[in-house]
Amino acid sequence: MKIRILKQRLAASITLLAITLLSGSVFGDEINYARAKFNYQMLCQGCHTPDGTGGNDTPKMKGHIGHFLSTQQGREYLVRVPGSANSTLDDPQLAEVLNWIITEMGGESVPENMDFYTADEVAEFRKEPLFEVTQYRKQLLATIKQN
Amino acid sequence: MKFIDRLFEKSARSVAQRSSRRGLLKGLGAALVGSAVIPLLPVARAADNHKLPQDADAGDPSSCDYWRYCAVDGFLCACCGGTYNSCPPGTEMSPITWIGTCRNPVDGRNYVISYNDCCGTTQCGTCLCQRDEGDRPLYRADKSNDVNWCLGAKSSVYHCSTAVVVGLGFKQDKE
Repeated sequence: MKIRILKQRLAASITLLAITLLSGSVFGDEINYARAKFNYQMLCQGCHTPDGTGGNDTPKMKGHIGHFLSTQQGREYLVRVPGSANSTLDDPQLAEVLNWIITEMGGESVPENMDFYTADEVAEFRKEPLFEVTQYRKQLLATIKQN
Repeated sequence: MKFIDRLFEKSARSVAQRSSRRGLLKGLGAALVGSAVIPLLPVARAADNHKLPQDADAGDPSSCDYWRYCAVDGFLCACCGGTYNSCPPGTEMSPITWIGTCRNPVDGRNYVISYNDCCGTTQCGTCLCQRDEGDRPLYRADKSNDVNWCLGAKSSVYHCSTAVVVGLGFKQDKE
């Protein structure tokens, strides 16, 4: 009887450990929230405002940024804009702050099965920074609306 | 009714057989002391440390030496009818701003400071303060305090500068 209970407890512990490790690798390692928020504040917030509302010529991200993830071109756009591509952040931290912005500010605009940005992906996209953004963004949004 | 009487009698006797008056006093005492000790646990104090020192810090906000002004370049709103985190009446705080960090001498931690300009009337002209820590040349516009940040407000006429604490600094690991 005792051996049976021990076996059950061992199985439960192993399951719990596996869940913890899995969640750590999938979610925990992706975003360091304190670092991502600090990077946002230091490098983005000055123009995009604390909650991503923006203003004047600064585009609104709050409740909106997730729409760009519905197409590949939009996904690349968020990395190719000057503020991202030319920032002083390295690839992993740029990916991190983008993922943080999307999850914190995207709201209902974020697709349900959103793929988080990876450092490799960001490294590839930022090789071609956008020079002209305003017209590009308008056309991109029109394309996204049609889809 | 008899059934309820019997049930209560049985349970009361059962409790009486298994416990003592001293045991009851001991339990009550432990509960009282325990509940009194809970607020003293270090968890609560650690949580309090995360509060931003908006009101509890040392220094004179109308002096250029004040810790929050480590990167300021302009007239201090605290001398112009406003405070270090609010604009004087009749001016508008620009939502677009530049952001840096300053070390609070009270707790030794770095805080993220937003240097929002107040705009709309002519330069305040008192308490000019130029410290420039972390200031970068104009080609790094987002990190330059020479930019007229009133470009984000309705009027681009600069009046004075605030220094609003917006967060805690983050120490990057050197790899």
